[in-house]
Amino acid sequence: MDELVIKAKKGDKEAFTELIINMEDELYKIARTKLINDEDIFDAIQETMISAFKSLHKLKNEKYFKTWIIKILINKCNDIYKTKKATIVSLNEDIKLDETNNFSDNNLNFEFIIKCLNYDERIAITLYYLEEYTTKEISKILKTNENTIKTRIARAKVKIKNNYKGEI
Amino acid sequence: MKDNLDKKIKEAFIKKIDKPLEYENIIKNALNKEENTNKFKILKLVACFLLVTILISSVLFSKNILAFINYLLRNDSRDGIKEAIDNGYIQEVKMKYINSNGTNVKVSEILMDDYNLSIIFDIEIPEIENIEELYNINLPNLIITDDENKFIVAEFEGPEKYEKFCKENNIEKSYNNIAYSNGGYEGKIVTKYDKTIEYMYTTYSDNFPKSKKLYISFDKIILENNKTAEQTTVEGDWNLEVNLSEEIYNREKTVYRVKNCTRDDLIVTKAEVSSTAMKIEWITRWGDPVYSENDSEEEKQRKTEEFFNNTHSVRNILIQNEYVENSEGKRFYPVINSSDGNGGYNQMLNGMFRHWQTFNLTKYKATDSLKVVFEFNDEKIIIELENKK
Repeated sequence: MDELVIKAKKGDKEAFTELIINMEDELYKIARTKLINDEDIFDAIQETMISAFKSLHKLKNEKYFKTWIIKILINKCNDIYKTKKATIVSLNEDIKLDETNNFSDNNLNFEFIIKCLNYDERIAITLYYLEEYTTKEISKILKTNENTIKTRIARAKVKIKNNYKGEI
Repeated sequence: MKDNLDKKIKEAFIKKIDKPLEYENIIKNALNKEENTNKFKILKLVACFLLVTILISSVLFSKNILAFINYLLRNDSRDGIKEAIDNGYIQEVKMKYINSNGTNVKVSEILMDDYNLSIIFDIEIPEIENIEELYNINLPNLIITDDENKFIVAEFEGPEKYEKFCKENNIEKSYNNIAYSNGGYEGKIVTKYDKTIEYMYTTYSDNFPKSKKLYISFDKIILENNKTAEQTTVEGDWNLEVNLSEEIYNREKTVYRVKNCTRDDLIVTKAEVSSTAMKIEWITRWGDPVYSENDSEEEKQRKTEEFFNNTHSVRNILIQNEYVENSEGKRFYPVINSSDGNGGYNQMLNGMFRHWQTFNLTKYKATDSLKVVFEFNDEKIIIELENKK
């Protein structure tokens, strides 16, 4: 990956694009913690790519490329969310399982987790399990106190456990 | 158990999820976005086709004409609103007339909940002739915002008006809906006497916000004559402010959860009752995915085109005879509205089917237990709901 980053820093669009394709599932899931419809998610990822490619020369250490992209993406998602707040959506951002109905009984999957939690919990637990960041690293990405991150992850797990009807 | 939960959560995150076909293309073309604007538009069109959204009212699936007529007669779109009004859920507004170009306008009553907004305007037009022949009124450029600067309603009589509005308000001109109202509305002349008309404007949403104040503005009143079908336009600049009551902005919906469902793979994602209506949403599997992830791109494209060319694939999905029954045995049917999209479905290429519907059941007639009944491709499905409390 570092080699691709070095190439991308020299202006190689294909190398940069390949880096993003290698992360496409993760980026989609991270964007999905904030945005609901695919059009907004695609916009966020596209804008992230354009911004990141333009300022890639500022990235000092290639090994932090992924974290850097994720930070940009989170900011882009927040921007899009704010500008589109008035748009009608069919699912409320804070929809929680105990406010809706039986979600999948035996299917603890990504969508189930998303529906269980509020945004703060979603993004914290996604970065924790999907990217395997430490709570300290997550606190730096989200610019929040590390204890707050630990609390959000713990609370998220309790909510998932309480709402999941299958066997654990 | 803690380790198992961790493991399950981890697995949930690791597993790749279904994403639209064009996602990878969007990434590949992102850095050439400006040069490939047209390609992106085409991809967007493909994305639109990939999600088949058909807004069909349940009435299209009635089995015979008599049933259709009965269905129509017992399903007035305004039943839920009428019931709310009958139960006092309407606010009388005390305000002075706002005059512009000799025409006076004020709001006399208003009703707002998460799903419906009804405004009764009093309009005095001194120059109006033959008021008895007045058939309909239209307010083509109606803008309603609230105390948090949210757009509640944004109607434009043409693209020029829309573009001018976007420019003045620094809004991106995307032609997407910018308001909480879903664009559908109903206008009705309640009474007319002397030179005064009482006009009821109703619009719809899935989630009107809990606004405390509304700012209503419009610059045209179009009057339609019954006999001649002629239209008379009254121009002006009316700006009205309405403070909403605490009962309206502190309103609560009743949320239901599933107690039982006769179809195992059906998941209810929303079941809520407000002062004026009930909304339900559910998803289930309609069939096998149209293509497999292992298929080549050409194969996916071919299978997608084949699916869309075969219209029977779409028409074979039928939802019929929907109703909600309360524990007193009273039944409530889907709302029929002109173009408010209150009922519809998505038939998705991954084999999943999503349906949403609005019923004329309000909290005044809702009981702690409800039954939602419908036929899904001739399979009778019963969803038993209970008040979440």
